[in-house]
Amino acid sequence: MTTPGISLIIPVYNGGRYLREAIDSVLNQTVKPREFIIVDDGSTDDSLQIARSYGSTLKIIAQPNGGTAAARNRGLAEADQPLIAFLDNDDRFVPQKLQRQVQCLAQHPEAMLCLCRARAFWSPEVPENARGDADLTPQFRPGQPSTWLARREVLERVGGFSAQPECHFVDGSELYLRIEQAGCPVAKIDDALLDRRLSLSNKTADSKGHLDGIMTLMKRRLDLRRSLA
Amino acid sequence: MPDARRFKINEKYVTAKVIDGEVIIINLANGLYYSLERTGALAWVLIGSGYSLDESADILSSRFSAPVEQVRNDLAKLLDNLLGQKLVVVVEDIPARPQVALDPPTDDPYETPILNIYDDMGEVLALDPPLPQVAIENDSWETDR
Repeated sequence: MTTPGISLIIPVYNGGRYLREAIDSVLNQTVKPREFIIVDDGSTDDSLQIARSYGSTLKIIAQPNGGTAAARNRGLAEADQPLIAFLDNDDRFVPQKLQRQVQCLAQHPEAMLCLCRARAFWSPEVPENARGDADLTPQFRPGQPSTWLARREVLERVGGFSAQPECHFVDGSELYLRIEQAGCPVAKIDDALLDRRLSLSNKTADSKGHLDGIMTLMKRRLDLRRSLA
Repeated sequence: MPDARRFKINEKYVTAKVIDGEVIIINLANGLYYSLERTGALAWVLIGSGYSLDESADILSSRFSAPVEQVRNDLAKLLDNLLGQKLVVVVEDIPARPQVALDPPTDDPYETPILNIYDDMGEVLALDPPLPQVAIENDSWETDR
């Protein structure tokens, strides 16, 4: 069986600190992407230099800062393979992530998207006393594109990520809801194939903004429900 | 009987946002979502800003040219609901009448505020829950629902 090609997209904005770990986790995949795209979203740190140090292995796109959604969309516009995977620049795939998801989509030809669980881990530099008692049980997080392997056609059908400011923290969730609302079947792998970093930078991320985004999505869902009633 | 109690949003568990004249409320303690439309959204803003029941009734009655007794009765029921759901709490330390700027009046008529409760929207939050600093707390805190 010929393995369908994968375009892998990492958006990065000032993510130099962890970018190598993310890139290396892709290069260590048991099924490698045929196309590996890094979209540098106007970083002012060494992200771009780190990406360039991998030579022609990576297709590097540099653009002015426009936010994660815009960077993912730019990667999508450049992607030329039938399957699409995303990875946030501070997270890591486990080595079998893409292989398992390719197999899953092969077994479920009706599925447009394959999800896996995400396992949170504390970044080593975070002091023990700053970690709290977070539940690190692997979770399905359908709003996290790093857990997806998507057929390109579904992303073309429903459109890309929303770059609207109110979706800044929830662009993955917003797109996932559109995929769901379009009636696209979704397959799930009940294993953690993504390591999701908990660091001081994302621990202090704007949780108010995140909750605001969730409320925006809920409002849209209510409006949609009323319009269909 | 006059009711001079003042209230505030139960910020430990509750977050809310007014979007296009509707307030969306999330109770992180029980995973329930709520909404209040139009008149209800205005009532939420007033009550959550520390206006008493009587002050809120006066403002809404004037804004909508609605009988103040009807508005007061409606708000009393709404407040019972908000307190029962622990979306707002009584505060003792706001002695002065607060000031809040409401959106300019529209042609919308007065409506009895209804607190809509949704228990089937948790999936939106579950898509990508906020990271641990706002971990959902399932302690002994319970609603009266």
